Amino acid sequence: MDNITARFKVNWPGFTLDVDLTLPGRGVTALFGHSGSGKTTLLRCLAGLERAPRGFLSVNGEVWQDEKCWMPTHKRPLGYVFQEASLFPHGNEQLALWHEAGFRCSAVEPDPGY
Amino acid sequence: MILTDSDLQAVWLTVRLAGIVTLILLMLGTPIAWWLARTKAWWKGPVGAVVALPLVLPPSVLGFYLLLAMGPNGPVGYITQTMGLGLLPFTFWGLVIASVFYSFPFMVQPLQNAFEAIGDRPLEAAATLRASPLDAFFTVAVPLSLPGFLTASILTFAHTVGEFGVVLMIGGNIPGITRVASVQIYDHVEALEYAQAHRLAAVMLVFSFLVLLSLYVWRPNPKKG
Repeated sequence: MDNITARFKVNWPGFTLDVDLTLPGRGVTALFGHSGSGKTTLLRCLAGLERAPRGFLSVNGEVWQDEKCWMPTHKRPLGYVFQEASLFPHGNEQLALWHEAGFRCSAVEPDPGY
Repeated sequence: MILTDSDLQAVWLTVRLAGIVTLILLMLGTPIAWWLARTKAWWKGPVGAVVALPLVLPPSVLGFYLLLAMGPNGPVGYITQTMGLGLLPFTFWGLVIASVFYSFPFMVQPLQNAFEAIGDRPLEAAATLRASPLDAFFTVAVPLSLPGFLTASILTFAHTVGEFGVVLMIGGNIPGITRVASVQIYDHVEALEYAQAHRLAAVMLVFSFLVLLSLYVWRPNPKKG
């Protein structure tokens, strides 16, 4: 049960993402690919920022998304570093507070494809 | 004192009306503006158009329909009568409800613009940091759109102060209850009391100018928070 299973199909005009992955549930996994190959979209699907219809995602035995259930982003124990700095322009007290909640797994959005 | 007692009464009534309407619209308009700024539903367009209607409708048209709705044979009138509240036309609260409709776009549109300007990213970042949508709204969206809240409140207040047609249709001209400043000026002119009309009109002119001046000169900076 110590792994991440992800199946997503995303169909947008001019862009298709079709993944069926099983990743180790611990350690560091790097994801690379050329520009526009869907690295960011996959990470957004994992984080729950994008909702792939009929997708499936389970993390270490816990189902985050299937046909019936959908765990909203704020309930997923993850950390996400956006490609550009996404600090709140009005100060970062909340940021510090929410960090207290702790990270269990983290996603770092890759630089645009190199 | 340059204003007579009845003038002061009208000014106080106007300020009370505009203040209450602004508070009600802050509570009603904020969720609607938020929805309009975030939704991708197809009926966003129709809802936006309905919200903007009071901008282009003659106040007499709006007042006429509200009078019918709140009257003894209207749906609102039926509800208020069965609740034992009596009828709303020609009462202060009837005026409040009518003004809420009349000033709706002046609250919703600046707020909607402010919410749209935030974009998705700060809210996504908040969600990845465990903030529930309500949390994110109050700790991220509200501080970032504070200038929008100020603009919307000031515009709503000032627009309600400037209301005339709807007041005449719904409230009539009852001293201390529905006779607001703009109606009082109309009365003075009708009675050929030009000197009194001048004084009250000048007060309104100066007030309106100061309100707009504050909007154009003073821009709060959300980044200082």
